[in-house]
Amino acid sequence: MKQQFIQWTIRRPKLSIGLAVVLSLTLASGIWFLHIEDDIMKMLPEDIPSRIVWDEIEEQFGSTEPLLVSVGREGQSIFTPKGLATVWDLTRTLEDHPAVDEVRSLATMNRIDSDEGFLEVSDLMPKRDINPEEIADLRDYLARNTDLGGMLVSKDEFFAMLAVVPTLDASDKELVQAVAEMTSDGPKGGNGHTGGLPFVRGTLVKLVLWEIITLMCIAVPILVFILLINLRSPRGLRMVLPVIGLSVGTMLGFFGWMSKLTGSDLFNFTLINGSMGVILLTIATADSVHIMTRFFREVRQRRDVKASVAATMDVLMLPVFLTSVTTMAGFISLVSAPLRAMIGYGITVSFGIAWAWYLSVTFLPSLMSISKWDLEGRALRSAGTFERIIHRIGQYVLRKPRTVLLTGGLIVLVACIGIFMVRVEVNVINFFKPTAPIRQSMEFLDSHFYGTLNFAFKVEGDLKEPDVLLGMQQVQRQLEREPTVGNTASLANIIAKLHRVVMDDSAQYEVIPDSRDKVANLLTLYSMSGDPDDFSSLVDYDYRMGLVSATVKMSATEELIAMVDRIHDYVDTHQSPALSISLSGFPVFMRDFMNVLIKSSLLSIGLSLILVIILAGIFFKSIRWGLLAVIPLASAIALNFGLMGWLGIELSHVTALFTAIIIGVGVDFAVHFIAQYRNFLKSGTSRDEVSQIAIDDVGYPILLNVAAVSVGFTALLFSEFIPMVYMGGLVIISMVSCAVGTLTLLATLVHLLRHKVTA
Amino acid sequence: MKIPAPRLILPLLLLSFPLSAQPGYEIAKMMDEREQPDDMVSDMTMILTSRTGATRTLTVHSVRKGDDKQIIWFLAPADDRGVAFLKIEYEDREDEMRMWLPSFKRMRRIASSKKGESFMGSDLSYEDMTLRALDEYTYELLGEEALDGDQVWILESTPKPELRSSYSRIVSRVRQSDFMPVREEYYDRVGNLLKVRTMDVGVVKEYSIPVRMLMQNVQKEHSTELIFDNMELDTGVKDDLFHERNLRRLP
Repeated sequence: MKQQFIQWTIRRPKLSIGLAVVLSLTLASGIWFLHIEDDIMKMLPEDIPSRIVWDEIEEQFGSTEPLLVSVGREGQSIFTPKGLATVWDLTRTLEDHPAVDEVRSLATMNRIDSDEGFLEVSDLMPKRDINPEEIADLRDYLARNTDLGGMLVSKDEFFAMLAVVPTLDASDKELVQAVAEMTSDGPKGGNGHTGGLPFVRGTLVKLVLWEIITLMCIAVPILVFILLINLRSPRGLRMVLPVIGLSVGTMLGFFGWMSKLTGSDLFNFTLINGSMGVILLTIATADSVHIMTRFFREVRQRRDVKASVAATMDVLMLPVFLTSVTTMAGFISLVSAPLRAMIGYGITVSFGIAWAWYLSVTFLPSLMSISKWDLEGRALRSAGTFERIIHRIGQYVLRKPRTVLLTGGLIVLVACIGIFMVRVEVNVINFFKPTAPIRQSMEFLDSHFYGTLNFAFKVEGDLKEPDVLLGMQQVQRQLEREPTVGNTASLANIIAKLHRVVMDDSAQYEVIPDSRDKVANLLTLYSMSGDPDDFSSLVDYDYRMGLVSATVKMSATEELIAMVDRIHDYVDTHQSPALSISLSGFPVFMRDFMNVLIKSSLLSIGLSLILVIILAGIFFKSIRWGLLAVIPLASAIALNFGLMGWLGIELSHVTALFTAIIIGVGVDFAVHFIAQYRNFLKSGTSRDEVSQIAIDDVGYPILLNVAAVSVGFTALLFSEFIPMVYMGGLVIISMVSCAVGTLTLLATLVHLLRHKVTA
Repeated sequence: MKIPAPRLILPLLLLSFPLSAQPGYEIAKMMDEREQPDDMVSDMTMILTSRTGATRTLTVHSVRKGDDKQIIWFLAPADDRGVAFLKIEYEDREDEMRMWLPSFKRMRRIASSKKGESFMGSDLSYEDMTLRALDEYTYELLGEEALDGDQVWILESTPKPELRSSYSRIVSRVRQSDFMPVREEYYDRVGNLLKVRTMDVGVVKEYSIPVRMLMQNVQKEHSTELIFDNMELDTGVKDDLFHERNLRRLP
């Protein structure tokens, strides 16, 4: 059957090539149906508690995460007619945008004054152009009401803040684009900055996808160059490249077709899917490099192209199939991932791997068999530098197998210590280098105002009861003790303020009144004067559910999580039948999400290891081979995480996920080694020599593959986006560690056990 | 028998339209001159409905004299019972608004500088509650149609710039039989539909009077329904009722 298939690809090469090309292009045409999903929130799980609370809060109170825009000019007070007119104009323009629910700024917020028994709720800025006297009064009011003042004007009074609350169905991208257009003509308001979660969300996808494309444009030519100088055959390279290109194109097309045909959001192209091309690039490269280098070796011996192609495919059909199956199994396991986007990701990459396999065993050998090779060419005449190097490595490794094994084991052990030092970072803004404009903008807003992230607490109880309001205030006080919390807001603040106003502006009354009736009277008083919407962002209609919000400055994830844990503990001990508090907001969500994702990534890594043992055990008909196959992989995982710990590389959801994925790619080397080892053993090679021959045989394609991919991926190390840097680093470390693990640990172990293993 | 003015004038007005250069203005004028009761005493139930469908209901006893004096006592919910509100509008000075807060035993004056501000936390603004002064708007008759079995004019009222209205225009369906605006669409300053007011009109003492009013804020997906009960008109309410001392006790 195998021979018939191989012979078909050699005897009917044009049909084989034509079929592969037509099928690939047909599938690749689905690229036009790719649906890019730029809302990163949509790819996050909806069933973790803080997300549920968050959704409830947004449903009831609208968006709690405004886009923040600052206007002003360094060194010039915003309290000038021109500065305030700019705030007014920008506010009005923003308010008119359909994606904007409301704008909180000097031009829209109210002030509450009390004067000789008069309660007045009025606009901070009643009109666009206000005179110096009115400006002085405004400035004075904000200085006396620091909660409001600190929110709207920077401490140095150079900048004013506009908090743009998007409508619930607004796209962050659309909003960010609109704000960018409105603020693009520069110093109408001076050198402003934009920030807040919608800004990060709205900018991130485009930024990262663009970054991936740019970096791949650098990485791929480097990879091609490395392959060229090592294969020493432009013709060979010209055959490898279409396999890679068609595989990646078909996979993306498949993704588009699935999106079109199923209409499911599982096949929306999200931020995560940006790495699919990178993954398949490494897999497709590995398969075709193995086949091509093996073919060169066969030609050198046989001097007959068709016979060499047949011999190559005879030897490599099983290992290439097995590596594809094991890697596919790893990706298919992603259907259990907590992120919906990962389900489509797993299915699509699995399909891509299957297609790369199909092209490697049909299109590539057919192409090789009809090509006019120069049998006197360097690649087909003599071994290359890498081949000589690998032979020497093999000799060294097998001369002192115990020393090599011990040293390798020791390195892995030391690396394992580093695992305990791994730090976790999932705060998206910390993904950017400090020099990145997006990060600088957010840091500017953090340093000049109260903060750019939000905590949101859902409070349930009778919110007209003084005890419940006092409970809310206590939570706020607790929050305000945290150094990263800028300010807090709730209905309790407004009640206390109204109480003071009603009691002739006496500061001692800026507290929660002592009876429910008084609270009710204050709320009615306000409703007769203010706008009902003033409360709608803080309390529901029945006064049964309220919101306590806190503005938080950006900090490292570990600090944010420690703070969330402290607040969580506090809230847990202060719950009562009358007052129920649930935490949410981006920092809380980040913590919960991170736990889910990292756990699932580790689970996925564990699952991959088990799958490799089982599949390799079945194909090699021995559980011992299964266990041996997993050794390079397990040590690569330990090295990966260990090095992350030692080098201070943070583990993020991106890096955790990517490690889980790239590890699946690394198993290929071990499978190729074992398959060839068994082949040689079966063909009668002596057990003392077989290890060296196997290293010579698979070592070269492994080394070439690692060199091409690793050098190519160094381009990613220059990215502005830190996870991209880590992604590049991880590809390199994973590839190198899997290769070294295979050629040292696995090779020496198999050598030491050579009399115990079966063919 | 007293015949309401609109019924007498209507045939004449309809005849005059082809000749009139400003049919919209003529209709607005007739609406303005529509006979109004001197005073009105009623129990009013206000049902506020939020975007999520949650409702809040409050009931007040209201006495209104002319278009400029109103006193309100809160009856329900129990939390607000006893709260009272007095409003007297002046042409030459700022309106007077006072509120009695029984739990604090304090009277508080309220100043609201914005006529677009909400009335009692509802979707109605003070501007919506006030009769529109005829000369502060320009009018255009957009056409006529049948609405719920009645023939109506479609009248567009555009506030003059000096009015500083919250709206860019108001399109009213004015019932031809009694000049009552049974449906009004309010457009915000940008020109987008903001609110829709519909009215059920009843005849009390031969006055055409709204007995139920629904104001929907289509942008905020929020609505306010007002239901008027126990309505008494032209009862001879004295001016001295509209004094802060009367706020302290429920009638």
